[in-house]
Amino acid sequence: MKTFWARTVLLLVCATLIGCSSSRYFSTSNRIAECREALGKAKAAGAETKAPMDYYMAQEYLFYADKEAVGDGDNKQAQVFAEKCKQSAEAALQKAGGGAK
Amino acid sequence: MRNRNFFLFAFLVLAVGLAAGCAKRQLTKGETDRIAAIEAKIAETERIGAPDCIPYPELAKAKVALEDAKHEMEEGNWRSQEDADRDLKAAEAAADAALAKAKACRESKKPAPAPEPPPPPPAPAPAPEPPPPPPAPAPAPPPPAPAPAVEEKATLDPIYFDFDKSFIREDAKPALQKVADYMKKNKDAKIQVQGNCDERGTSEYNMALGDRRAASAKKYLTGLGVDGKRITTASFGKEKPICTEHNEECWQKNRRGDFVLQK
Repeated sequence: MKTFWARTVLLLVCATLIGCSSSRYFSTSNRIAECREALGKAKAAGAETKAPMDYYMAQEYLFYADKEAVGDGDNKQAQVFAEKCKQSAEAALQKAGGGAK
Repeated sequence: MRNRNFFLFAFLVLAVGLAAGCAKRQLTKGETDRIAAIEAKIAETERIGAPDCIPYPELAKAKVALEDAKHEMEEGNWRSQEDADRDLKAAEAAADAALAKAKACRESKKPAPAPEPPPPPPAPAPAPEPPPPPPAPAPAPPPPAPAPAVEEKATLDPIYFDFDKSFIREDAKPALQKVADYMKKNKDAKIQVQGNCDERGTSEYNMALGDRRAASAKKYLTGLGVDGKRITTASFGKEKPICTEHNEECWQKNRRGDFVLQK
């Protein structure tokens, strides 16, 4: 009986840990995907020339988000960079006149 | 009682570990100086470049690399220190490039100097002086010194590799043949083959890949009849990029083998 409970607790702990880490991983991937999408829209709207600072900042944030997530495994920082990437890309899109009217 | 002491001890170890892991590291004087120097260059670039000479890609790269370096430094473990150092180098290189571009652009946009005002009309000519006596014949000029011998400088083209590969591509073979010809013609020459990689992947992996690329080029050259003792190899991994953008065109330029003549 004691062994049963010990195993159950161990299993629950493992499941929680795996769940937590994978949720952060998927959340990071989603944010990077959102950033990529926003950057694509900004490029299509001509932000590269109309709002170059925001556009290139977004591009660099995307690069570092990828680096942190894939290279260093630091999902927390990857999310920070992905969020900044999205914000810069949206600002670039708006300045380029391609944002929501 | 024994169990209680054990749990207390385990709890203390955990608490100390957590505190050490979560504590933010203070930056050293050297680090803050480097950061300040990069920030000064960024500000200078923005000042010189505004409004029409700002090199946006380089400036953005410097800013974000610096931001990542600061983050890595605060993490404080040995691995993040390596990353921080690499980011700082990238930020320094980008800030230097941005500043140089902004200066060059500003110079090129400087207005051309205004034309000089026309000279005043000449004063009435004074009475003509008697003609000076004819000058003594000048001594013959010394014979021209012989031109210094121009040292023949070899231009050894780099070779390029496929992504994550170290085999010699067909398009690299003519360049290697040229290196082999040069080595056969100059019997005392020694070269170093330097393997380089693009920015993707860890530093350690790229150092090993650079080694394989250099070794692969050396093997090909020895196959062409060059004495292996005259060829050394080195790897710079991804630390010596010649292009700093993040696209395939740029990465291809960095996946290369350089041939450097040794004295």
